[in-house]
Amino acid sequence: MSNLASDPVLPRPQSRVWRKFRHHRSAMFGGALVLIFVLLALAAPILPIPDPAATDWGAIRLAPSAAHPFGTDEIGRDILSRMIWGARASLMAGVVSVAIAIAVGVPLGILAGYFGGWTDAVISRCTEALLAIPFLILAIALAAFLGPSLTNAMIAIGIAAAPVFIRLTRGQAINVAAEDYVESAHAIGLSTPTILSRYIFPNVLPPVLVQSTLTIASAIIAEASLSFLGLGQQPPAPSWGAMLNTAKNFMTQAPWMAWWPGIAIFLVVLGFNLLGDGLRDALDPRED
Amino acid sequence: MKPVMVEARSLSKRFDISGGMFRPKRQLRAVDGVDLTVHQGETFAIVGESGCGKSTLARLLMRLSRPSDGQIRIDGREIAGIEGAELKALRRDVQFVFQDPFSSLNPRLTVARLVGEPLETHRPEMKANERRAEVGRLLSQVGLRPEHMDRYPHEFSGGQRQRIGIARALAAGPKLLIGDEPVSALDVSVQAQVVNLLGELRDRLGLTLIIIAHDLAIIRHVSDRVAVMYLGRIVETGPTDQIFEHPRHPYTRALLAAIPGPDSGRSTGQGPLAGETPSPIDPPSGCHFRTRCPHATEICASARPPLEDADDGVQVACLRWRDLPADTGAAPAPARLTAGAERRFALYRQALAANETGPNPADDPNRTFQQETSR
Repeated sequence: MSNLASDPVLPRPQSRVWRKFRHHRSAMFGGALVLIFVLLALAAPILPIPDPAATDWGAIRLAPSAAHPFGTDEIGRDILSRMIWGARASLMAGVVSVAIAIAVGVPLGILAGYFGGWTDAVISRCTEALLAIPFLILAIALAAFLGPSLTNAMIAIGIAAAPVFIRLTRGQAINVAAEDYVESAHAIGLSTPTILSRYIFPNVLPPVLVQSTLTIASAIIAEASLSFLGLGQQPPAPSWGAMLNTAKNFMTQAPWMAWWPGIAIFLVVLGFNLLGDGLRDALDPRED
Repeated sequence: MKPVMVEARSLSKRFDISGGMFRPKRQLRAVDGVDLTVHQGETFAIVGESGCGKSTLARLLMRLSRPSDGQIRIDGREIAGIEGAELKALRRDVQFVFQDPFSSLNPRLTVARLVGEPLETHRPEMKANERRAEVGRLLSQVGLRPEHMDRYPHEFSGGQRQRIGIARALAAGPKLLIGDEPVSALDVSVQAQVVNLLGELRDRLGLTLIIIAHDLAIIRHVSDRVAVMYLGRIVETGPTDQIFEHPRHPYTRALLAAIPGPDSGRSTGQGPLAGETPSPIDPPSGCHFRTRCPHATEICASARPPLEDADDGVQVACLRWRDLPADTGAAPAPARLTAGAERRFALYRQALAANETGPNPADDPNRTFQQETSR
């Protein structure tokens, strides 16, 4: 055995990304916020809280008290319970609509970026046309077209958010396609689908991951807005946006009805934004 | 004469440069009518300054890009225009070693996947466990430990990564290996190891090697024949010893004169080249080198000099090569090392020999070598 590689293999490094993320305070704070809401939403069925749809005509618009810590709404439903069940709708709307946006946007972006030419021209012009319409207006238009329901609202938000992912993925795919390792895949003789799935896709993902946490935040706001307009979650099922919608009629008599969903949306969106910022910093190889 | 492995005839690659909205389209001739022949089992080096088109030439021979003109025959098969299944078959016979081992390995695949991919593609009948065994064999063939096959490229050093790249290139069982500056991105101490590995593999596996390089010392060390390129054309080609000892083309002489070193100054009155390489978008008429050539006359501008047969198997593309003062004798033979270098190499060889039986094969020779060189 002559000619053996002489230097030892480097020790397996602890994931640099995780190490940087752990030391990023605001990211950890954001992650904790998100985690609390996710746990609350998941635990909703087993928590000792009243039925969110149970009305009580003897307890209409009660201010926060021991029996109803967050107060009650205009038909006597417990707001704390509706907040917790509403977290499910909001978080699900955020996650599912971003999943739809990624499922639509990433493949189109990869095709546009990798093949270029006409494929790119067609995809990019359509994307720009969609980007010209403000995100929320587009989501409202689509949701109105599809019909009011939480599922349709998520589809509408997903489609409205897709152009951002198409653009991001396209740019990233152009960079990755120029890498030597993609040329090495050609030299090996790999087929185009294999190159796209094994070489391009995994290497465009990190920025998409960052963008998706940031987009979840805007999707949650969008779902709240659609529900506020009556295009999202339909009564009596609770959602933060729908709760705000009814609360606006009682701003002077029962302001707590608006406080809680407002605070919850604020905190979740803040959590996802901090998480996304932290992820971006952690995944950025330039700063250490 | 050995059978011919690669034969290129008037091979060209032009790139369109869009001049902007109101400017005419222009063309960059990266490779401009190159003829070359590489015989089976030899190491053929292509050398030139950066921008001379040598990497483009390598990519053409590999069919990573499509030639604008000309023919390429590899092992008797015309490959200039092939596509689809034929191109895939070519990928089995011709493989590539990339310059930069840091960017040429997909960071998200393990070594087992990276080296296993060509097997997956070209030998689909192979079962997963057979493939693993084969990957292990390939890794030990290039001097890596098979135990490390489940690691990722970033866990290896530059030299080790280049070995992974070589194992990946060998996996398909190629007849021809093209290296695009395979060692220029590596530490000098590792370059020799990788160069020797390539030579060893060539002999053991009966490969033909084409090595692109700008480092003349390495070329002299490894190659049987050399082609010198300038602005997309081959200006001189022939057996390595002939080219290094009796360079005929003024450009080759200038290149050799530019080798740094204590005793490499040549007494031909040819100093280092003045000026920049002209742009390949708008090259000089006739001989491309005439603008920088100390021996140029009017006739050099008139016609492209053909690649003429000189003696000893050398071909040279210069209209005036017969008239130039001979460049002989003054050339130091880099094969003869300085006393110090000779001593270091002797120690290195000794350490390598000891290491065949020694208990710690990985570290020992290197340490001796480094200690000696650091003095």
